[in-house]
Amino acid sequence: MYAIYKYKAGASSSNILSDLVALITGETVVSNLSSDCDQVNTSITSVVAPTWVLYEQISATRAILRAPYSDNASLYKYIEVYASSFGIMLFGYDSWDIATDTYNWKTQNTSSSTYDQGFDLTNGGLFHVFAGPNHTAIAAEESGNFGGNYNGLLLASEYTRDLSNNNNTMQSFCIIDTGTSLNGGDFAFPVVSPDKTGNLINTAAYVTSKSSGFDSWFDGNSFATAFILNGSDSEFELSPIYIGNASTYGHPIGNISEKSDVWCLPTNSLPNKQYFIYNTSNYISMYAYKSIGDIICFALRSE
Amino acid sequence: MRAEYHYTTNTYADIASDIQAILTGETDKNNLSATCDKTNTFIISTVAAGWQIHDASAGTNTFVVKAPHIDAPTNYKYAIIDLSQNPYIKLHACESWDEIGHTPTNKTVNGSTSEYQRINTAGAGIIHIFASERFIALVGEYTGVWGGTEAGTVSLVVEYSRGAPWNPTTYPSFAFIKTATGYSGNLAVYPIKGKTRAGVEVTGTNAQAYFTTIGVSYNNIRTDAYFPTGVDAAIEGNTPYFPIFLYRPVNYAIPLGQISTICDIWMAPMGLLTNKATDTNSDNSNEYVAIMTYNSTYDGHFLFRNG
Repeated sequence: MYAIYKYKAGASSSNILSDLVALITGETVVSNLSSDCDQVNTSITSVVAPTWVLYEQISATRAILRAPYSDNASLYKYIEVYASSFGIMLFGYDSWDIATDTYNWKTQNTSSSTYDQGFDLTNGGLFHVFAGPNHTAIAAEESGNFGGNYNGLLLASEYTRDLSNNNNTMQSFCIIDTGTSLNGGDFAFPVVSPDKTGNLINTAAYVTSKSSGFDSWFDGNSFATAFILNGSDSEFELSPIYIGNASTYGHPIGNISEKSDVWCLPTNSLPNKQYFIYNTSNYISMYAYKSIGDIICFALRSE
Repeated sequence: MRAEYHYTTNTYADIASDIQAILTGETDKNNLSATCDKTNTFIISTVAAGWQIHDASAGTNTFVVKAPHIDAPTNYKYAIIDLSQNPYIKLHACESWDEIGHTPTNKTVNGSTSEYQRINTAGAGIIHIFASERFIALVGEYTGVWGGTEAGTVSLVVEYSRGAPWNPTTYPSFAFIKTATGYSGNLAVYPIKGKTRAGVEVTGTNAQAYFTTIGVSYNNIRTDAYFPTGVDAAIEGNTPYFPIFLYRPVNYAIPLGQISTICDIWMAPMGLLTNKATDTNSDNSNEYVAIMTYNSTYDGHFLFRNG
């Protein structure tokens, strides 16, 4: 599901939260969204169906959603969609007790505005909202700004169980602040994972790809910086996104792309919000990182 | 196939003949030459050696073997095993070999004595041989010597997956690797040929590439923050197996391919394993053997099937 969700000037954060939750949990009719939604300029494309359901509406600005794991239908991943004073945030949990509003493990990103996708309630703005069975992603666009840190987006995704001590009774889910991650920081937050000694921890991880270290995205000897010209056609690879922290976990923790269908494009290749077709599926490029002279876009399903 | 071939003297013709026999399917050490130390030699062929002779008279103590690509039964890979420059064993890949004129097409241009496997000129020694239809690996060993002079480098010719759109099944997908060079962040991979991202076909030094694994840049294999290092690098006692990618983005944009799934060769964390120790892969329960591929402060190892 991909929605371009536009909210009006003077919108309330609670209505925005309510609408985003509706979109992530499968709403396909724009007219069912709140009165703060600019319904004329909002669109929902829902070829890829999310499986998220609202698990608890804690308050007007906090909602817990859950979806089953791709390899265990009775095990759930939980996210909180939170409307702060500044914008929308996502947190991950291993469990959620509705009676007590408690959990065992939570992702380490805090409610600091560092991690939000901002909104402009005074003037209005929009959110790009993506959701599938194993992920959701949000990118803000308001007041001339795009995204969060380094213009990146928030991605909540299941990942493949690449650690030999991670089995399908365990959590395999994380929240990624893509901008700070692609700037070389450890800003991929697993809900909880075994470390290499078997202890359960939620130590932050780095974002990498095949043959690219966490801080070498713009080194042409490490990561693709352009398309391939094959005859008259330009071709490129959608590079898989991995998370890992070698000294803590001992091996890349998992592959995000196989679960979310979100991929990394070559650096400085497609511009932001470029629609394209890859292997017969529809994608859109979206800033995952932008700084002076350097851009990395992720490719997300636009349907 | 894993063979630990022991020789008693540097009789190069016999050694070449025995390596040829082992690569082309000999499983009985008693059929090897008089130079073979049959008491200590062993051949484990759980996986067939997989190569066939193409030119047994390619040069002085030199022969060429071939094997088809995994996805193209009539598209052969050619490997040259050359014992003409004493006391070395030289390994090369080529696109094709004229067995009448004894000449190659697009032979890989690796050619440093520091990469060659060494034979003892003063007595007995060992040649470790690993092979399947997809690859050949050679390591020379004798008292005080392991691999090539460059940090104990191992010589490999490997088939790699076809990661690039210009690499159809009619194209060679085969490269030489000198392992130690890769650990130190240099161009260790010699594909037979490839096409740049501008579509220009390149061979020789222009085709060279790096090897690495997920999340690790070409120059960071020795850094713990990128690739695990040390005796505590096991995951709850199990060795993590890392896939090996061949790549050079400035030339090819995307990885050329990976060798691990095709060749069943993997990278182990630095400094975790002991040379020639066996290790059971917790994912598939198969037994592998750790072979030192980089002899430095922290030892690098590749994992090959133990047979």
